[in-house]
Amino acid sequence: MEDINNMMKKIPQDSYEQVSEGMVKILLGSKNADKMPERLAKIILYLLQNNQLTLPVGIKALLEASMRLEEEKTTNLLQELEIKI
Amino acid sequence: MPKFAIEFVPTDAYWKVVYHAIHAEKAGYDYVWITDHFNNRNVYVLLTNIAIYTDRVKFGPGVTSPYLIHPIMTAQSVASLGEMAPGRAVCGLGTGDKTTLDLLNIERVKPLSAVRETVQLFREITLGKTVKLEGNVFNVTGARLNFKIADPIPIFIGAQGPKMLSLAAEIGDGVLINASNSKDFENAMVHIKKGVEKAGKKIEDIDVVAATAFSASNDPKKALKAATPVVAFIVAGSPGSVLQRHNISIESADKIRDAIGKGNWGEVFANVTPEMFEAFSICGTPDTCIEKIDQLSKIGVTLFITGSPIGPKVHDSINLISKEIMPHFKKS
Repeated sequence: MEDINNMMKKIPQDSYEQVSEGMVKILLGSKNADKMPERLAKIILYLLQNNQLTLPVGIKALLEASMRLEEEKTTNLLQELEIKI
Repeated sequence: MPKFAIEFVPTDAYWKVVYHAIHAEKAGYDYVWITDHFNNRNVYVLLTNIAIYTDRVKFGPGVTSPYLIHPIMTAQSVASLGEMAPGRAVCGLGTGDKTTLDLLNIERVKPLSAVRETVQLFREITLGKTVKLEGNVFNVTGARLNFKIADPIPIFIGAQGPKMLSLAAEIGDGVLINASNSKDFENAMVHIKKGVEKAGKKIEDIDVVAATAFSASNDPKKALKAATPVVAFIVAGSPGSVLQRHNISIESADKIRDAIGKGNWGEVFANVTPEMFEAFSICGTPDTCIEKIDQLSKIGVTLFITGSPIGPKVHDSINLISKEIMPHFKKS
């Protein structure tokens, strides 16, 4: 799996909203819910509560979780949004 | 203006359910209910997380059974949630799902007494009193909580039959009815009114809650498909009198029950008819859902629970309900 920090650098800020929404859908639809690390689940819930899932900190948490649970679907999403990882 | 609640059956991982609950709060929902079945995630673990990660929405078990969890333990649990989130914890209680209780060999003895005594025990102990009760179902010789709750906790009582509907209206803050069709509520309101009159209350003093099988989508076929298993289970579990009220034959219900028993989902899907969707769900495009909510609202329903399945994709359906259904009622 590619380094999350490197991936973050390649996601333009103006696509954060779409990336966030897309990854949330991937995560909620994932059958690999058991692969979600406890730490990331808590971070994502806290960031959602505080409206921060479209900020860099939120994108990073979602990206890390999404890559762990659904790597292929996540890279496909980024490709669809024309983000080259 | 009707209020909106959302109900989750915690069959999914805890973080997904809590995510949906936070999302629902942001979408404008007033209540989040978590169902209480021993074979799903524990209701209070979920509700504790909801207390932590939400700020406004009210929440509670919807519903918990006093046959499975002693009323004093329910009171302790909900009161603890009330301490964490003052003014937001509520309690839904009911005699419980027969199918689930049968698995534990628990019989629902004297259900009216059980509910009346549960409400009495719950109210008194959460008001800081020492409770003593020699009842028909519960015998408590002197129980007290060692902590105080600032606000009284509203109790919503699940009811179906005439006597339970009246009792729920008499002693509850809300009557929670698992139904989606105006015929069921027209019938229920007769008994609810008897209950409030008996208690010397006004109908406005209580919430009449429609716990609906709800499925909203801009694509009506997808909404129907998502609702099919839920409607099938309702048809299979409905007594003859309810089926008759909706002109659904007992034979057609038997077919569905048999197909569910055999796990033959193709057969189940083939046998759920448009009449069954109409009778037992609020299902379709936002306009269709608005029309049915409007009908129930006019009969006296004050709180709508958008229950399982909510829609083909819960996240998208919460957005749809928030953007296209709730605003219709908030402006009226």
